[in-house]
Amino acid sequence: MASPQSSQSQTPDTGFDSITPGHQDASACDAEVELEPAELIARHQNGIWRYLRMLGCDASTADDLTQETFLRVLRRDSFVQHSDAATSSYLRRTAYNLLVSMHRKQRKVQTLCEPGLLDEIWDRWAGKDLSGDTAVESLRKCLATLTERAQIALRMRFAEQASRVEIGEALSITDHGARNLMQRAKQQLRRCVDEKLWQNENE
Amino acid sequence: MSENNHTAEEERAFDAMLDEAFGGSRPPDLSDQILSRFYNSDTDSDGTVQQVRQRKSSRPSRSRSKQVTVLAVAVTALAAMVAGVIALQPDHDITDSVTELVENAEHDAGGGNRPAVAGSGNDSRTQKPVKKKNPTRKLPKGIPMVVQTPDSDRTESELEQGDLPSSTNPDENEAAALAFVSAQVDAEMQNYWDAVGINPTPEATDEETVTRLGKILGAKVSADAVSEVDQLQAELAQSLNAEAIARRWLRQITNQRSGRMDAELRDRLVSEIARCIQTGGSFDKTVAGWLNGESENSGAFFSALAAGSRSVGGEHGMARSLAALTLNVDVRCTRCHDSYIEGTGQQSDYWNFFAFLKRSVRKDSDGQFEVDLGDNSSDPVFYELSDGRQRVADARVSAAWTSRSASEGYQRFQEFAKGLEGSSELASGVVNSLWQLVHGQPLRGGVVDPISAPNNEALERLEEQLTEDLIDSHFNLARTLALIIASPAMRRSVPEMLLPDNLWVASQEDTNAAMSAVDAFAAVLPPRVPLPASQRTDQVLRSLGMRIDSTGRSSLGQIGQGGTAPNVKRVKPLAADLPMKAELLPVQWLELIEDRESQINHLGYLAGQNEVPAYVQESVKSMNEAEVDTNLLLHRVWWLMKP
Repeated sequence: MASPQSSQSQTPDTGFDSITPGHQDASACDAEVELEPAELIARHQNGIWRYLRMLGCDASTADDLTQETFLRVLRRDSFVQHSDAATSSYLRRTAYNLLVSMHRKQRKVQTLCEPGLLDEIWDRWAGKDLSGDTAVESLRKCLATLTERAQIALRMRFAEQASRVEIGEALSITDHGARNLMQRAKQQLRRCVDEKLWQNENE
Repeated sequence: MSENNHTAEEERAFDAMLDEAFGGSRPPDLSDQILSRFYNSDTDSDGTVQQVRQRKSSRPSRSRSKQVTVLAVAVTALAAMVAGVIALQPDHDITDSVTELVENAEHDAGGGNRPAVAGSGNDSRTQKPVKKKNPTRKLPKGIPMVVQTPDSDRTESELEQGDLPSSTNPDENEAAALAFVSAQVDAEMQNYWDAVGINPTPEATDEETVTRLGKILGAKVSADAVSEVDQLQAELAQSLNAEAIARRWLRQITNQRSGRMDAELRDRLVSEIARCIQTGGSFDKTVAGWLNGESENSGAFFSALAAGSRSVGGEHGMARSLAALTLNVDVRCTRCHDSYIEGTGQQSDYWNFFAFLKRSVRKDSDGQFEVDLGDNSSDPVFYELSDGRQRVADARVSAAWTSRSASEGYQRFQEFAKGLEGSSELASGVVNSLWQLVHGQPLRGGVVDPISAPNNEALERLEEQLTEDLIDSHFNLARTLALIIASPAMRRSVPEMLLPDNLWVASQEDTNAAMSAVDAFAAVLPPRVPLPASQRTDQVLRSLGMRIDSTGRSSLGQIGQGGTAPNVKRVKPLAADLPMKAELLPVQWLELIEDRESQINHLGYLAGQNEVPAYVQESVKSMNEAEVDTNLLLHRVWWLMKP
């Protein structure tokens, strides 16, 4: 794994100028697909928003930075749409830089790993359709395959923001037991989502 | 790496998906917001975004933009002033004074703004950002004038320098560049202070202004944004800020009553207003949607207007708030009689409007408000004239309140809703309401009000500028709010005489002068936390010696009550603005009312109450027992009830 970097000390101001659209995926540049701004936003906004959430943004920050990302890219004269994948990559890099920039401004120290590694994670889970829609939909379906106790634990954790102790109390297990239960459930979900994404890709 | 060989980033990514799968936040459709901002500020190129996100290297050029704009307005104003003076007073020898003005202006331009513009033209990276100081904002003092919009020649010349946004053409009824309008507002505000002879207090620091803004609006903006109106607009439109502003503005519109409505309805309404602020969407169409029932939040809107107890809200509260917001009409007096003081309102207009609302806005079986646009008839509404005669109301919106309606006014709700779209009445109502949100009183108050800015033509022009800009910008709330916040009035400091340390040593004359400046938006009051009714009552009683501590426990020292001496702990000081002495009545027209009870009732109506609340009546009783001077008593009654 690449060493994490502090957003307060890294990513220079010139980060926004240092990437060229389309260069991320030059092999996919055979056919240029020029989308109108409205189409471009509709195509990529879910992906960028989820990418920002993946970076740890809360929903409101993700809303704001998604808007800023598109505005910055749309206003850049040098922006060329080579392909969906290249555009998505360019937008993600812009969003990443905006987030780092925001952290620096707010003097927050939050570790963010290198964009390349984040891209790998993104591609694994949400990059299949560039939006993450399929992955989230698959995850919803996979939730039904869990045991009832595992579903309760995860629901309490993610829907009700309950602590491990509270989850343990609700299920009459220790907090350590609750943690293990959720880890196992998440591992099962990962496998299930992987399978479903693989099936989708091969259908 | 964490357990199961997953990195923290992978865990976070998967947790984010799980959060969404369990019904957490989902990706919103931001197309409208992005496109609106993209097309609305197309001329800003990528500058606006950089402003939003702290790209400090771009600050100097933004500052220069406004400096040049201020200079442009100053020169135009000077030209208009010279022309006006010569035209109006041809027989007077004004050569010297005009020459002096011109020389001063040239000196300001040459010695102040021009070097900053030229010097930092294309070399901003090597220079520190130059903050705007007072001198760059000050225009030649003198005769109040109408600041003209720029002629094409000057605009073009400035465009060539690349310092002004390129979309200013007022003839096409499009909103002028924000920085330009902001500079006009600056100029008009200075004109106003000059005309009414008030010296504004020194500018507060950007940080102080940001802190004050946070307390007023609940919004967080950067210090940089205070002097950069484009950046300010962008930051106000961010989601959290938009929601905080929407929430407080709704309270403002409803005279603080929205806090008492159903929370779910309120949240829906707040979200819709916040979306308007975020996207720059047309608020006039939103209002029309609420009024004609097409909006899903139509019922929520009327619930907000009618929220609160009978003493403050209900149907009369709804009529009062709706008339103020949508028509910029003050109906506080005309429920009971024609407007004697202002001389503009008729009692019949109020009751006709009330009947108009009553006919079309009703509660359904679930107690929710709904708009009924059918040709329904309703029970006639009777009202009593001041001479005791009864009259039946004619359900309609008076033609005197609207500039677009036919001579008989609006008789149908749909016509009324449609007529408000793009109307100057709605725009001025919104402008005054937003101004009140920021400054605590409308831009142009009434003569009847205890606190009101001295009215003159400059103030009227300022209101017209903001109103026209709101219409031209298609009712972009964030833009108008940014203009209001960026105006010189927002950056004023607290007068020394009103600082807590000086409060007890200040002479009445000094205090009056400071309060006059506050009334004219040329100074601000010390920050204060709004006190709930119980604490305000407590403060009044404590000032009378009727309550020794803030716990409310009785003591031997209390008048008319027994008890034991309490341990006096944590005695809070009295509020800085609690009236302790008063030479005059809160408003002089109260002299025309003979009995004190009626005077108190009138203060209640001014405060937006339907009747004087019980806690005020109790305080009045205590003050009467303590033989408090009438003037001071009425000042305290106003202090207890004022919005």
